Amino acid sequence: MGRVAAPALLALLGVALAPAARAVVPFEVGGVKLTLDVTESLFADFHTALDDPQILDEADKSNVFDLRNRLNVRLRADQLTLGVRLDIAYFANPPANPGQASQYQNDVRPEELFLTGRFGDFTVTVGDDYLTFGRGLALSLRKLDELGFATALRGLHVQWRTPRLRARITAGLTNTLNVDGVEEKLIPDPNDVIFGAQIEAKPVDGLKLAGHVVDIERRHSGIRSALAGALGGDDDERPMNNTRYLRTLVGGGSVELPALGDVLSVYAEVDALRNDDTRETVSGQKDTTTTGLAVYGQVQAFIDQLTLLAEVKHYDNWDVSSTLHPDTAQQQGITQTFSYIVAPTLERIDQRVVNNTDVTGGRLRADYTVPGSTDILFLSGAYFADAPVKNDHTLHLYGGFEHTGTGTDRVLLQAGYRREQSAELTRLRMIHIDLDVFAVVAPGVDIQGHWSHEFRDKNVGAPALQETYLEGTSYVSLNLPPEWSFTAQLEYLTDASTDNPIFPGAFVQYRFTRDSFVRLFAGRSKGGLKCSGGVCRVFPSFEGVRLESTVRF
Amino acid sequence: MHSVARHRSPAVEKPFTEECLMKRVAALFLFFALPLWIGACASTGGATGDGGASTLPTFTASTLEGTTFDLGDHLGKDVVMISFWATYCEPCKVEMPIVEQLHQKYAKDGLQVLSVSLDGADTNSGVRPHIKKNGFTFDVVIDEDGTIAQAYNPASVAPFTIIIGRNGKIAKQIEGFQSSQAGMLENEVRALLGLGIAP
Repeated sequence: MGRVAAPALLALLGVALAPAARAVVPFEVGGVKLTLDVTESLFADFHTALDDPQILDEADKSNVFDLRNRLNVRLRADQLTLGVRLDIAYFANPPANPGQASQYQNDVRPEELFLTGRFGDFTVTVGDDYLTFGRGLALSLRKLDELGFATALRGLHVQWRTPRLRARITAGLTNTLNVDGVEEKLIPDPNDVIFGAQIEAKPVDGLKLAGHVVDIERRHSGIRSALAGALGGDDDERPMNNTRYLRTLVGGGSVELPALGDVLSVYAEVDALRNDDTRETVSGQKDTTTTGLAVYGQVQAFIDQLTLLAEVKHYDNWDVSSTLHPDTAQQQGITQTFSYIVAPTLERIDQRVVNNTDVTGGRLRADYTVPGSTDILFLSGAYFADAPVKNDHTLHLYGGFEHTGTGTDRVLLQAGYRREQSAELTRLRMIHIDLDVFAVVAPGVDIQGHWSHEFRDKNVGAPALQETYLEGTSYVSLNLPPEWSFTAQLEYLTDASTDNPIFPGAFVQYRFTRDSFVRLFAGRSKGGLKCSGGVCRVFPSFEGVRLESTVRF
Repeated sequence: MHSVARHRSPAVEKPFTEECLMKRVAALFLFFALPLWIGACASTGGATGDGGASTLPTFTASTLEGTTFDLGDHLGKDVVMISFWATYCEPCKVEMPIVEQLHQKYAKDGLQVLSVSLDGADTNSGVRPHIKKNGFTFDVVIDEDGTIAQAYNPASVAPFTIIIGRNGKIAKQIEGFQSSQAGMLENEVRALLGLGIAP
């Protein structure tokens, strides 16, 4: 089969299935009622210029075609669900990157495979599962986006749940999304071994107590070598001179009062960790132990028209990440790892947070609902010590106005100021403005508009390093539901490292059914969280043409 | 960018030859295509069964108010609307007043609304304030593990709505929300409740 024929066939398969799409497929085999649910997502990209600094030859980055396919299948029978996600990646004309091993590789694999069943008060999952303990401080393995970050635990997860008690135990190997939709590179599974247990109790109505413990066994630990070596099939023999933690133990607990008198909600969690580290040195093996602490608290108050949210955090050496893979670390010189936790940042979701491992701070947000209306005024202030780096301070204030109609219109306008200050200079000074508008402009015609703009000053006080630039994203969608949606997009980034500061692009989307669509994008995109055509998702940086299709049946 | 760091570790695995890749694609395609084909054929006979028992997976989750929501209590009895959203999803916030209106109007007729927040640990502190300040009264759960999405919304997109009929079968799956389709959504709910077209 020709190199282009395979992806073309798969693309046609996805599109051809769409007109016949139905909600689900119920059927019966041998008297057993079954339901088949399929979600098929296909992404075909033609990169006129691949954005990858690791590719040294500019010509090597041009005219790269790649196809990524996600086939999600759920087969259900009574209380059993069998789930499979088959991932396919195919590259035509990938960068050769002479002298370096190419990370753009064709790949086919069942990325998710699980069987889950409910038996009375028990729920048992064998295979890949996602789970979070507490507020993600001790463990958070989640799928954040179909094309983004997703780390599952491939093993066993048993849950026992009664109205007053919930207990969970889990054990497995970490399984990451191997073909990353952001960088489109092949990433090996860390295959770290994780054991976890959690118990939640409601001793009285309105009070929830929880405790959890997590043990992460990494490369070169005896348990990992025995389990991951046997089950994962990867080597655990190569020595590494990098610092690596063999084992992390995390323990903690939380107290929650979810609805105190219908005016107050309180949550507090404390966790501690212990890292056992071993490294090879010229004088032999050196073992060290480090500890960490995380404290998180949250109070919500609901008083008449006022809604208050107060959060505090204190993280000290709070980093729970995956093993460095020897191939990655030694051959590619890459030292980044996968985080196994998602510690609350207390920041806006689109805020770039450099340091969330050694930081102390808090935020207070107040929302005031104008009486007799659906209009809301809000104000938020946050302060963080040791952010973005030790001895620095970060201040962020923003406020705005929110109007939500009765399902036909919405306006969100907000503006804010952020300063990241060190003793010598202002690392960042930013003013941001955000506007979102949704409206029905005529029967059967919707518009959606978004504009986010940032005035940025970096390194103020250090003339040699100082830089002033603009960054923003804007788009306008014209939607003719249910079938058509047209979006014009303009992004910009005027910093010194960006050669071409303007990123224009356009989408056309056609829906075959209410849950299946094909979308075509052409242009440049600087990436980030975006919403278009009524759907939000994280887009990778891109330049070229992209065909995207999701079909459910 | 999203505050959750997307740590990445590019690396090398054993390269595929094209022939090897094609064989794996063919094998896996057959593996999945065969059950699909069998399912599609069987559906012509099986779909007209008694329609009473649901084959949908059930789940139990704690609502924001501390009560327990068990989907199994509603399957086969009520029309169930599962609405996925997130605090950072602006189209979701346009849709939620419509969901609330449907809940207010049709709960007495057997519509059970469950709002499922896809917010992770870093943003779920904003879920309750959003519900409270807007006065929404439907049941809300936070899909903290992502397990509800795994069962009903594998792509984890928002907004995404599933409507389950009284026969316990999924009647509608709707990705995205367009304001001008609110009337259509209400009529679909009414039809499943056996109420006919809205006046």
